[in-house]
This record gives sequence, structure tokens and C-alpha cells, in this order.
Amino acid sequence: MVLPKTENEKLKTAVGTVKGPGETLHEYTFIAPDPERQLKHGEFVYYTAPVDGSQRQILGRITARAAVKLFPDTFMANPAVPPQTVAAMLGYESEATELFELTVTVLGYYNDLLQDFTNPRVPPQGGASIYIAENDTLTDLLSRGRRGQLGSAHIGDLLSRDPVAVPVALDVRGFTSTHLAIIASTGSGKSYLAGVLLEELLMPYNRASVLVIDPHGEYDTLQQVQNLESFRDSGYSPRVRIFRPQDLRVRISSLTLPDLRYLLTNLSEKMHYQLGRAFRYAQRTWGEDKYTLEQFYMAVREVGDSTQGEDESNDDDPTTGALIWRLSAALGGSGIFHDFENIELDELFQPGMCTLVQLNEVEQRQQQVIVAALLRRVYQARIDTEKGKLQREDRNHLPFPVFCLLEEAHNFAPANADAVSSDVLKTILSEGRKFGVGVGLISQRPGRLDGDVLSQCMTQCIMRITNPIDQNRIAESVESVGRDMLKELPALSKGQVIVSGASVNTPLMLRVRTRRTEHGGEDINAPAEWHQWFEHEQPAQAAANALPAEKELERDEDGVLWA
Amino acid sequence: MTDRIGIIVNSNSHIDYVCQLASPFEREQRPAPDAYAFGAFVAIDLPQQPAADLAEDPPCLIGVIYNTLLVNPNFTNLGPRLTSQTEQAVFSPDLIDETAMLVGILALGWQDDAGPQQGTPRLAAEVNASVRRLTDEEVRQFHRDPRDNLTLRYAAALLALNNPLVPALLLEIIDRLGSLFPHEKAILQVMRDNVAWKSIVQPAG
Repeated sequence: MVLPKTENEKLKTAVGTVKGPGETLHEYTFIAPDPERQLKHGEFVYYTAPVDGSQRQILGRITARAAVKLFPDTFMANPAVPPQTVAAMLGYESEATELFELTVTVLGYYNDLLQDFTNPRVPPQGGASIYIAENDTLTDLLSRGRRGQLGSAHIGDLLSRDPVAVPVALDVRGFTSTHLAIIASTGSGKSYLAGVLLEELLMPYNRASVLVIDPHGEYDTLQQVQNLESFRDSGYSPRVRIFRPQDLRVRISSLTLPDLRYLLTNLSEKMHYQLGRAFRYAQRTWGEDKYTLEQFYMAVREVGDSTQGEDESNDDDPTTGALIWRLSAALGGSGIFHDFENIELDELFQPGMCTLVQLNEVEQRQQQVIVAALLRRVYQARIDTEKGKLQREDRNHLPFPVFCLLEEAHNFAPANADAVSSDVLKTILSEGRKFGVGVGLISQRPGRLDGDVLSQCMTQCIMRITNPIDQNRIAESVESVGRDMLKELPALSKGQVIVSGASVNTPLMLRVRTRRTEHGGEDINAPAEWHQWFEHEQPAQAAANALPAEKELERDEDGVLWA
Repeated sequence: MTDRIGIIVNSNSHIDYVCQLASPFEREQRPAPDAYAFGAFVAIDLPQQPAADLAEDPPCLIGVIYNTLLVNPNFTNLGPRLTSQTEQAVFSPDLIDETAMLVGILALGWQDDAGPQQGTPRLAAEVNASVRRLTDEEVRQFHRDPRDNLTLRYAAALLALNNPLVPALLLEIIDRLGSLFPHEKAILQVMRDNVAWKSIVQPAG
């Protein structure tokens, strides 16, 4: 009797035989019967070859699988008769009924010196044995970070293996300096993954300073990290600070001319001109960042077409009047744009603290201006601090790198529209690395996200995407993910992610780990809530409405019925 | 009437034999027409091994009739004759004996002490080896493997012969087996449909 093989014995048994080189230089093909269906798409396999005098494991990833021997279709004519039975009747009783040709993309052997894979640049010998890579080997080689160590973010485990068999940790240094993109369609778990990432960033071994722009207010539950023991370590305890829309303050004088122009829609040429002049007048007269809305109105009047030369009468000038009216509509009534108050950077950023800026209920243009203003300040503060222009006692002194995560990033850097936040985002994405400002973009519509912005994110987490426009945008902008992996996009399930780029050694398909805190982005269970309405709300409503109905209808002397 | 059909008179290959049926003169040995019909299973006696005991089941080849040929020396001999057909039987019976009926037999397997086996036989039959029809039970035995499953191993070898009669022969055999193995009819049907599609539908398409 043949005993079932243990997991390790299975991995030490050859699974296939090299057939020959593949279509490209870094591909080869091998033939395998694979009766146990181990050779999944994306699985890591290796052959051994001499490199610099020693036998090395040359790792590769299965990228295609084609059948070379199958039962004839006609053997499957009757679903009640298995093709094996027909074959057995004809005298073919072997269990080896299938044979596959698998294409492998070579990653190479791991070069400790370069901390990366080196391709041997020669295909394996025909007839060489192929083995499935062992879990431990993969754990060591695939992740840039080591789980639980400084600068690592354990976000999940390898999809082609058993759960938790091969944990994968991203290199936090990679994505906080060269930026991150999380792209996924609605309901595929992008906020969940972002939650996992934030948890990892707040772990004692990372203690990051993170700002989350949360337009839906769904990251509230992250507050639980403050109470969980696993996030604490000898005196360290992470903080989560929430800025709700009513707590947000942006000082009017911190807005730039483009910000103002963006907020004030439908400006005529003349108004544009006058706004520019007023802006410069205000800065010149009262100093940058030191004027109120009233003062700005005054500046508008000052620079307006003055016939009488008196402030009050200037409102008669239609341009001045219209401009002031627009300014007052956009900024005057807003609770966010304020004459004096501004959220200070040290309130937003602190190592070991995650700040959630909730922008729900804020109009989209205002959201873009808020984000633009915030990012601009952070970036400028980092530049000034790094260059030594700001000292510890200065207001915007920011002596540590920061990471900003933007939900619904396509609203802040749209592809075919002009948003005031696009420019500052592009600047940070291209230059932020030098000054320690990292950006993470989360989007469900990469097709609507600016291509330049997406291609600047060097670590990509891509989840299920079915829309072909979105898929094309990813293919155009994300060069590190191979075509073979992009084919997987529509087939990914909830919570499965393809991670590629600077934070991993090779593109990987992962299963996102379970969150330690609760997930806040759950969908509303509409049928359950409707049901509940009939059970609780309707009787209550009926009771509330019963009284007026029982009342006699009162009509006045004209016969008019009054409510 | 006996189960005996005739004797081997010739062969075209290791598995392709020609059997001559008993002549009209051996009327009592003449088999029923059904016994040498297309697709009928037959046994061809094999020479006895010298050392072998006189077993109750002597070794034999098992084959199937796939072809029939009539031999008539008078054919095309259309000149005038002094004697009529009926007189000929009296005056020169040997001439009538020259007409013969031949059937082609494909050896599909053999039977020895180990029982019936399908496949290309190791041993060959000799000239004058006796040929007899198989009973239904023997046909059933021949199509059972040691694990008691229905087996049709010779089908691939038959199809490889590239003989135009083979598809029809296989369909005939499968139909016959369908009645002998009612429980395996579904499996046979898959095979029948396969052969029928390739031989009937595809050539016409």
C-alpha cells in the first residue's frame, strides 16, 4: 500500500520535465502529468543548474498551461459515462490520462548581494527535473520585508499555497518612498487591504506617520488599534485621530490663486484677471498667509475698475460685485474655509499616528482644494525641513517622512479633467521621494485616474478588475505586472490581490490577511433593513400618524382644508 | 448442422485468415448461414503444444468474420456446354466442388489456459485448422477482462487496418455486444456514436 506523501515529500518529488526553451529568452516549457493539480497558474517552480560553480535553484513562475494529451471529445458524449471508462473498455487502463505543457517565466536565482533575482540567461537543459518551490524558500525569497521586522508590512500570504504557508511582507520603505497604488473594483476588498496596510504601518515595528484622506468616512474602525494589545510595545501605543468634516479648517489665506480659481466656477476673463490682481494685492499688502476673507474682498474692490475711487461704490462695478458674490458663496458660508484657523501639520502628522481626514458631505471641488492645500503644505514643510529652512520651534517643522493615503484617488487626479489637486499630486509623486513624502492612491476606476499619476506609483496592489477600460489603463501604466498576470484580473476573488513593484521581489498573487480591527466599509444590507422597517419602523410610524387621521377634518369658513 | 464452419485455407497476414466453408457436398457439415455472417465470432484451432495435456479447452485464436468471397471457376466461362448444371453433378461432381465460399477472419485475440485474451495473438493458425463459431457465452467471456469489466481492446487495432468494412464491422460488433451486455450499453453507445460519426456523418459532410 502506498502511503500518502507528506507536504514536504510532495515538494521534494519532481513534478515535471523540461521540454525546451519557450517563446522568449526568459521562458521555458515543461511537461507534467500533474494528477494532483498542484501546478496552478502563478505557482513557483524551480530547476537546479550550476551557477558560478555551485548548484543553484533557478526559480520561475508558471504563466501558462496547455493540455497536450486529453480524452477525445467524443468520449465525453454521455455525461453518465466517464471518458476513463470508455478508454478502459478500449484497453487504456492507465491513470495517466492527461498531460500538460506549462510555460514558466524565469525569475532566476536569488542574488544575496543584489538582494534581487538574477536571470541565468540560459534556458534549462531539456529533460531537467522541475520541482515545486518549498514554502520556506518562497517565504525567504519573495518578500522584501521580513514579517514582524522593522520596515515590513505583512499583508497576506501566497495565493497558490495553503493559507499562511507563505506569508508575504511588503517592504514599507519601498512603498512609502516610491508610492503605492491600490486598484480594485467596488467590493473586491480595496478598503480592506488599505486597512491591513494601515494596521501594519501602525505596528510597533513601523510606527508610521500616516494621513488618510477618507471621502466616505469608512476608516473609523481603525481607532480600535489604540485598544489592541498586539499594537503596543514597551511604551509605544499607536494613535488614530479623526478629523470629521466639521473639524476641518483650511485658512483662506493658505489657498493659492489656482485654488481660488478652481473654487470659483464660471469666471469671466475679466474676473480671472481681477482675481489675480486682488490675490497679489492681498499678498503684497498684508503678507502671504495673513489676510481674512474681508480683507480679500477689500483687495478685490481695490483692484477693481474704480471710477469714484471709493470702496463702497466699487461694488457697482459688475465684475467686482460678481467676484465678491462668488467668493462669498464659495468661501463665506463654508465651515471649512476659515479666516484664522488652519489645521496645523503637527496635529496631522506624528510618528505612530494615523490621521483620518473624513471628507464625506464635503462638495467634491472643495474636497479637491482641501487635499491640494494639505498636500502642498506637507510637501513644502518637508522640503523646508530637509533643507534646514525650518527649525524645531518653527510652525511647519516636519522632521520625519510621512505617508498620505488617498481614497477615491481618481477624484483627486482625474484622467480627462483638470483638478486643482492633480498638479500637487504629480509633483509629490515625481519628487516626493527625495523629501520623504509618500503617497498611496486607492481607486476603483483606474481608467479615470491620470495615467502619469498611476505610472509613478512603483508598488501596485491590483485586485479584481473586470472593466476592460480599467484593465487597459493598468496594462499601459503598470509595467511591472506581466501580461500573464493581468489576464488573472477578472478571475480574482474578493480579498485576492496581485502585488508588484518596488516592495516585493517579483509580482505575487496574494490572499489578503484578516484584519485585526473591524472592517468599516461594509455594504448596507438593504433587504434586511427593509425587513426591519416592517418590523419596527412601520408600527411606530403608523402609531405616530394615527392621531391626525382620527382627528376630524377642520375646514375654515371658505371650506379650505388647512394642514 | 454443426458449429463447425470450415477450415483455414490461406492467410494474408498474421491476423488475417481465409476460411473455406464446407462444400455443398458436405451437406451435413454445412453451417447455418448465420454462423458465417458478417461480424460473427469464430474460433480457429491452434496446433497443440507437444507437452500440453489434452485440456478440455484446446488453445485457439478468436476472430471475427469481416469478409466473404465466392469462388466460381465457371464465372466468365460462358461458352456452350454439352451438359446441363444438373447433369454435371452426376457426370463431373469434382467440377462443382471447385466452387467455394470463402470468409475472411480477423484474429482479435486468443484463448489458452489463462482464458480468453484480446490483442494480437502470439501464435498463428495452420492450414486446415478447424474453424467453429463461438457461442454467445464464449463471446461474452471473450469481452470480459479479469476484473469482469467489458473490454474492447481490439477496436483500435481494427480501426488501424484502414479497411472500408471495418467501421461497419465495429458497429455490428457493438450492436451484438449491446444485447449481450445490457448493463454496459451506455459505454458501448459512446463508442458506437463515435465510430458512427466518423464513418457515417463525417464522410458525408
